Amino acid sequence: MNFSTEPHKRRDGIHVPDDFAAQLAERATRAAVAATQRRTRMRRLTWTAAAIAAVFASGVLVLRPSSAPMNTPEVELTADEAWTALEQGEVTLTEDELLELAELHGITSL
Amino acid sequence: MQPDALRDFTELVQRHADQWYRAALRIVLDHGSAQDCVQDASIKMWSNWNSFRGDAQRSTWAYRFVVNEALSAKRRSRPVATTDPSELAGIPDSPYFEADAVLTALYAAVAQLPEQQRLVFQFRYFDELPYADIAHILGTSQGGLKANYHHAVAKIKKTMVGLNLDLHSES
Repeated sequence: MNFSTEPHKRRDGIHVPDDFAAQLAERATRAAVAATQRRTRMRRLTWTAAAIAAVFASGVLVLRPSSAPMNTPEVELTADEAWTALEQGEVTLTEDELLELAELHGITSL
Repeated sequence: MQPDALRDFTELVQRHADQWYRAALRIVLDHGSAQDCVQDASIKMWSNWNSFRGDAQRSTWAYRFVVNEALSAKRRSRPVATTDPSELAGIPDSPYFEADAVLTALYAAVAQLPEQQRLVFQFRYFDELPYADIAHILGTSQGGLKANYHHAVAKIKKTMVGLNLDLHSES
């Protein structure tokens, strides 16, 4: 660009002292470099956080218990045990269940 | 970034900080804002350093960042029409600005121009930039710039002549 280089002959009346221009240049350069470093550091932190989150999510997927209902061992209950429990008022049965249990137990009248 | 790039960038800023400040000041009209514009533009220049395609001089490419930053700052700081008399008169508020009556009148005349004409006039008359560089800075055609400059000069002449007549009649 073809700028006039004599500060005292600026057509626009703006006469910038050399020391001010030097300070401005230094400040601007420092700010530019610092901003780039900050951005690089932020990018690195973001990537690290994303990587940690991905590893954690993978771990959770691998280790989490199945969503299917757990198989609990079946409890064997004899008709006599069921009748005793019924007599002691420890269980409540519907009419059909009561008749079925009575039949199993050989009871014809309740 | 390469150390060579940092050295080139530092040299560019050192060589042109004065011009960038003046260009920004003429747009934002405020000493502090003009410094901020130079700084913010420098940050953008450095972060885009490798995207320079070489279709203009590096200094012209850099100048565009400063002008865009100053125009953005001006729009941000003045969402509604100003009533500040010095701003209306287009007078830069800076310790480094000195103007006689003629230059003050010139600034006042320039302030009345539409933005594009004002910018073209400032780059052409104050900075003596070639049209090719101005076209790159403003992203417009040289033909359009010449037309804008022609209109700007005609309006300024008219204003200045009228002003001179008033000054003569007062004395």
